[in-house]
Amino acid sequence: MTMGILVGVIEYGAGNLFSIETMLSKIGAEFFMSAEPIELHRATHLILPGVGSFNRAMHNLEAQGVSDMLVDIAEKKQKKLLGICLGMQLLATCGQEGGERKGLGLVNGTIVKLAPAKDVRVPHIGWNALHFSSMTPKIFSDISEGQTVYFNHSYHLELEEQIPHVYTEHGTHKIVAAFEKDTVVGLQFHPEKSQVVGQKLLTSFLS
Amino acid sequence: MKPVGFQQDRVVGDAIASVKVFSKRFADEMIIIDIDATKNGYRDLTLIKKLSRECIMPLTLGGGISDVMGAEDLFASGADKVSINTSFYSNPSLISTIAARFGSQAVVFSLDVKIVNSIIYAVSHCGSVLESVTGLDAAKKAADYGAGEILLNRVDKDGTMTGYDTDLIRKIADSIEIPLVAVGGCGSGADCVRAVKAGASAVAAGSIFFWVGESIMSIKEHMNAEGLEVRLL
Repeated sequence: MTMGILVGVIEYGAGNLFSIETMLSKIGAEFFMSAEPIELHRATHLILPGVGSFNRAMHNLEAQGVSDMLVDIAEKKQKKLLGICLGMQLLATCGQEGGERKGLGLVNGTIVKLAPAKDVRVPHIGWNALHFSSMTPKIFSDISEGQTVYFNHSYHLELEEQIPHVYTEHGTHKIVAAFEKDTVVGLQFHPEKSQVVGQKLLTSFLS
Repeated sequence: MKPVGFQQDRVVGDAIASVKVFSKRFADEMIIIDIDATKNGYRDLTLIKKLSRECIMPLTLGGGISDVMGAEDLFASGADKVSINTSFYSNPSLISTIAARFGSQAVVFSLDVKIVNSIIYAVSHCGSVLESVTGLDAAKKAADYGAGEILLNRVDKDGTMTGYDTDLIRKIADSIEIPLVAVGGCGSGADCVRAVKAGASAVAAGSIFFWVGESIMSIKEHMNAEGLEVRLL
């Protein structure tokens, strides 16, 4: 692991951090967990994990002062930020879980519930293949078309700007699996559960 | 521990060693249920954390979850999803409470059934208690309460390796919009294909790997050959 990298994993009551800790340890990253903006500022890279409710998560981030901090660091582009699963969704303009709720607004898009259909069940659970769009995010440069990662979600990002992204398919749904916007990366799937591919992506993010 | 029909327990060896082996053998996910937890009223979180660390796949943990704290302990011990079974019948809102906090995708309703005189009964307490609700109604109710996935097990087939009950799978799968994982009775790759064609989004198996020596990879290759999309590495 490159010298000088310190990962701050954001704690905000939205799910547990066991698997992220396990994978960060495995790749030899130096990391800490914190809920405090002052503490998190020590990090060179930030990870926003999360599962659960968009509304509750945003509430917690705002109450902790972390939402302002994230908007600020994204603007200044000095630190890289990785949002995972719900964490990725919070980066969007807004979410539609139980009425509209503002997100962090770091990427233009809306979080919308996946509609079930015949043979298309929701939540979208399981390993699914990654497909490249015409703009490949830099952190995917070591990943091949068709490699699989693990998804587990009911809501997804409807991207409203042209930025590098990869997608996956669930029935007729074309789901944004990941996007990259300057120093901000969002992953809808769980890299910490996606074995070799996940490990490569986390390592890329931290280099 | 690999029970047969939930009646006789056959010990298969060290749990941690088993988890390590399955982690190497391309299993897509792992489900670990502490079948004594409901009876004993406690769980060994130290052992569970050890098992989680060895498990490189997404992990569902369950057994005796009767309150949100039990679920929280398991998430904090490495669970990606938790599985609720017995508690659902006395307290269905446990599912909605956990789902509200961790998301529906994190809550599995483990539906054990027994078929008696052609009626599909939901059963609890490791298959020992016949509930007053049918399997179908239990599945629909659990989905309404916010379960993200149903793990469907025909108890009298469990451990027998004589095939999944595809009629049962079809009935339950057709009544819900959430994914259904079929477990109980897998004896071959062909059984898995039949289960998926009957509506299962995924299949789970235990005995076949311990007793027959069929491998996960050989089963996946069979499924792939039959036109099913599987994760091959």
